Amino acid sequence: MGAVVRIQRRGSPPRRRREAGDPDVVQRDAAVASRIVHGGAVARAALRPVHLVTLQRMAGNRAVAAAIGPVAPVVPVVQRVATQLVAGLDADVPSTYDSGGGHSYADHGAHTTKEAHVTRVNTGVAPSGRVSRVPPGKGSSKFVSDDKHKEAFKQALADITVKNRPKQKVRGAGNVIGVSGAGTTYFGDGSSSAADKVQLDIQSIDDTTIRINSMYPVT
Amino acid sequence: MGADTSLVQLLVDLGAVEEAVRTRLADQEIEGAEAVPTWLLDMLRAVRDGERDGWIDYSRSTDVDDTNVLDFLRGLPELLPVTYENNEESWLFALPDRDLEVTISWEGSCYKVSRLGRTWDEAPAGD
Repeated sequence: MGAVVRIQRRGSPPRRRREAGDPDVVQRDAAVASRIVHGGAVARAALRPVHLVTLQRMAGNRAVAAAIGPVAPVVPVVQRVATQLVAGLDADVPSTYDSGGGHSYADHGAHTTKEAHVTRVNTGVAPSGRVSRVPPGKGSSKFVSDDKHKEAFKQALADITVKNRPKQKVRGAGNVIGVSGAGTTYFGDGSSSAADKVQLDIQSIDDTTIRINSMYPVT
Repeated sequence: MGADTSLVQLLVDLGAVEEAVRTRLADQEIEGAEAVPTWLLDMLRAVRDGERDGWIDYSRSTDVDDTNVLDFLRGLPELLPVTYENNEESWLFALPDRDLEVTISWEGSCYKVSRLGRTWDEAPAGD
């Protein structure tokens, strides 16, 4: 390994290394520790090992400990959730997306027809026969292809997997994601428009398992 | 405290217990005003005030993960005398005590406050 070269600006005095007992360091550490300790249940639940190490180091400093007051012991819970799919659901096969009781494929899959969606807008009867009415002036949507359906779910699944890693219980997704060219929305007069977003309704059924309640393109 | 104050106050006005609301918000990891979309506050305000103005459009961003807020909404029956019906493309909340219901269309990005059982009537207002 090469030697570390320190560059010192000409004319400036060498900077003194700040010590743990320095007033400004104590003040900064006290503020950080206070935010961690007194941040409420949410912050406490989100504590990561690095926070705990930081907290322990800070608590070891008597000046910081005095500044933040008594601290209840924080017990770390480190448990990574591996998101599982409900039985029968295969992320690569859109025709399995309704496993567990949803209607994403049956009512919004690429195989559904324009006529079926126009009928839904005008009568409230979805392609599967389920009743799901549409507000006046609004449309009914379908994915343009199985590949787009799959792209949407895989994107959602990736997001769900990442966001659930530090949690103790898996959570689903109810947000809207962008999927270019995802689908088509049909209106009551037979007209249509492109839909580049997808509404997710992916729910957890236990601590680790999710199912698709619904998922459909939106404009 | 802070940004969620409006949501808490609206739910308290609708009959919820403040502490229970705050506990649920914490459980759902909903913190700060930016976590609660404006349209949701407008909708709850309309419910509280009994305003029935037909379908109201709202917009949602793909940049915001509002899953926790929606999960909170789904859990309203634990806080208020309200029933929840998930029709997938839309959700229906009925408040019998107020003779009101509110339907949120996720597919159409709009909501409507109306008298019980009148969401799908054509009359846009004063139904």
